[in-house]
Amino acid sequence: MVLTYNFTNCDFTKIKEDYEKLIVGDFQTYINGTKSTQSSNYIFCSNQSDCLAKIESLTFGTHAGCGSLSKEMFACRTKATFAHRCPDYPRVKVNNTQAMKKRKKREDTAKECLKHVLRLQGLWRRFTRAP
Amino acid sequence: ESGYAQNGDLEDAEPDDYSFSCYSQLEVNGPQHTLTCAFDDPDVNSTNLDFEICKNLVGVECLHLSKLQDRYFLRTKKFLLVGDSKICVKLGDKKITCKNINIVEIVKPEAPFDVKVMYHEEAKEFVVTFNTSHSQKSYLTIKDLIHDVAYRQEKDEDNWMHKNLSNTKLTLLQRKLQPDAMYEIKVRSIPTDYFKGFWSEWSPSYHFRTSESKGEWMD
Repeated sequence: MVLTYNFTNCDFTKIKEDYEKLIVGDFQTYINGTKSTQSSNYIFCSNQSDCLAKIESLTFGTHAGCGSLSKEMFACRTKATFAHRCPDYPRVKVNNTQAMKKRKKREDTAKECLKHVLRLQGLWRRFTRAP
Repeated sequence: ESGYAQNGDLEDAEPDDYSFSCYSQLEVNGPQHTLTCAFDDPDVNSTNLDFEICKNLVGVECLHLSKLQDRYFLRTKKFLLVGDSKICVKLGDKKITCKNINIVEIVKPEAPFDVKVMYHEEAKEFVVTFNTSHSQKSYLTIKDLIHDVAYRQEKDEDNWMHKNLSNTKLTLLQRKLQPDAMYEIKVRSIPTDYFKGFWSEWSPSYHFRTSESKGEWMD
């Protein structure tokens, strides 16, 4: 059974700031660097902690056809934000020493990953507006 | 004489003050950020002393700053920008003094540029415009800056007037200025809100002359 961290006690205001001031820019850089266009269906999240749980799962999970996004800059920053704004966010999950991936993806992988990144963007936007 | 002999033994002389200050600049060269540190005391004996930054870096534990004359400098893409990093002065492997610093709280923006002043006859006003490289950046964007526009009559050496604004356009009413006078104007920027830090350098100055035309002028 995989224990999912409970994001209820996080500093949502600070996380929102980190997203709007830093992580938004990382997503833009990632998308600009992906030479393909892609649409994506969005994932719903009901409140801020639910959004963060789904963001964590999508950011650090592995995805068929894409592999892992966890070495991208937006992922490194998401992890750092959780570590700094969420009490007792599991240290084991915070390992900044993973080298940032040099992104030479094949076209089909890039497309598949872009789908997930667009979903992530949707979840973050939902988080910034969620009650 | 400084507090450390060459072989690292403490001497009786008053110990040197190794306090230091740093500033960062974000996305100076594409995605690369810079960190610049210097000792507060310019006369400190910095032989064999190094600077190192650790924590909240991407993919590495620590990074070393290179010495350039009296400064120590690092150019990198590896700042996480969330949370404190630890900057230390080191003598070999020995940490002399350290500080916890958040890179986004010691930011020095790049200087504004392209300052221009246009006179609008019908409205009897001078429109000041300028540009900033931060309009192209991902993090410290134009929304995260406040600008200080300083202007003076050239013959009034120290009588600078200041206007703080958050966009890159300012209107000066003709009647608030002296007629037939040469003015100098310049701009600088400082981070605001999420980002904190220091004033940028001043932009290059722009010089303009007010017209002689009658009409209501400042008395």
